[in-house]
Amino acid sequence: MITPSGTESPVRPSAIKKIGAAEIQILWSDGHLSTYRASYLRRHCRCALCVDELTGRPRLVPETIPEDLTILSVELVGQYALHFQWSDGHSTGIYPFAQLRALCPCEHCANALREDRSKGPRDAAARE
Amino acid sequence: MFGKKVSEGDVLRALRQVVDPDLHQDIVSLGFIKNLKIEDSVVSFDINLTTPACPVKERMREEARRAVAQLEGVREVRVNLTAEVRPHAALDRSALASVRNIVAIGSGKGGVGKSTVAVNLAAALRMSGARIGLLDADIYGPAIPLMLGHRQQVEIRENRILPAEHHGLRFISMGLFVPGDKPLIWRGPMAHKALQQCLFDVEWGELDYLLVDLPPGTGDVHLTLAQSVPVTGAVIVSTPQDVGLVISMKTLRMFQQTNIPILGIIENMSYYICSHCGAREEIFGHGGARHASEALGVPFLGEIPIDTRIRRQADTGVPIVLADPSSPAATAYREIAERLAAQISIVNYRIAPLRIEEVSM
Repeated sequence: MITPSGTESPVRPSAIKKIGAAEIQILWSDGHLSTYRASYLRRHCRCALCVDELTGRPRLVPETIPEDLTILSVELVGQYALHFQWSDGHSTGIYPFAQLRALCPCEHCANALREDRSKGPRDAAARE
Repeated sequence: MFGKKVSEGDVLRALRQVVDPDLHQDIVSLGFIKNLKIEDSVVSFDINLTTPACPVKERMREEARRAVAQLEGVREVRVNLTAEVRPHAALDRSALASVRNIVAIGSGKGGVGKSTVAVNLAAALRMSGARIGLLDADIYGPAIPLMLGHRQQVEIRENRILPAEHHGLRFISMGLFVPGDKPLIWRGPMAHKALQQCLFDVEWGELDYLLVDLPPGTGDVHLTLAQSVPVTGAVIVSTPQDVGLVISMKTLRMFQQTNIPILGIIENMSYYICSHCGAREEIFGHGGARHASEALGVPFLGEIPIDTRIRRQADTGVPIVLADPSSPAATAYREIAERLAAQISIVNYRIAPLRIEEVSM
């Protein structure tokens, strides 16, 4: 079932903050607050260089991403996603808000995410 | 004559009873009241609406007039309607700074009359006084120059593309870049570049609404639009046939995934009135789009009949809305344009702008 017009549709960010050089914070319309480390988001990049387009298998080895990775720049993609330039030179990933919400690393969401992993890939159409 | 003198406070208090039916707030809190003057017990003010195509403007004018006329010490009330289209909050940083709203017009499949609908909606909004641009992004069959009776090549001045202008509508079409009988054979990246050029390198000037006529279905052009600019919302054009709607659903979901609000669904080719006997024929069935929009909780903007004159006018370059404004088809288009304008105002009122705040540690 599709949710109606974007005005009431799923949770969307009501505030987005880049804190220092290595952290992003999103306050969601339902009041939930998510804080992401740059290295964490970089490891979950779903772009075609990091995830094989045909098999869906990861191509990125998470251990190769340094813990102290920083965000050189972050910008909005239309009204639905974030785009990052990372300090390791990577910049091809697009992070739709739905994916970011699903990636929320807080304890409550991380539990829900583990269950969710059994389902198929998300937002195939909204990715590049 | 020498009774109680009415004050501005009295007038504003009275006007608080008048509620905008779309925004669900009174017209004083919404800041619609301008130029309030009281002279010799004659009260005059403007109601500054969010769109000149407001479907309930006369009703609001009358309610406001009545509310103030009831006050003691008021002999006459003069209400002037003005309109100022509010910009979509996120549209201010780019080359499109003077474009207030970008509205995408899509469909699930080809042949539903999307371009005809786009052209007539543009003309209807223009007639209401709004400043309109039309971007024909249908790379597979750019039809808008034909429908607006303008086939000249685009003009380029100081590295900026000047939009064509006809019937008071500014427009750009992929069809203006190539001679009429030559096909456009483009790969994805070329379509991407061409759309970005039409958005950012065109001297659009001040516009209230820029309508973007998308190719049918979902694809490169749609994604480019969603990623390049903050789109105020999208309209889906569908035929009553169910198969058309199943496909439209994909288009709907795509807009949703890219956080573009759905402004509504329009049912085109809804029914046919026989020009000889006046009998109504529902060739593709009827009401499919209305049912779907009710089930989805998406606004239903209206239905447009099949009418040979709509087609003929489009073919001769004068949209029916302009050629025969009192025809049933033109009336249908005008009503749909008003409902669309109201939905755009609602979205702009409700959705807060997104931006990224940088906090140093």
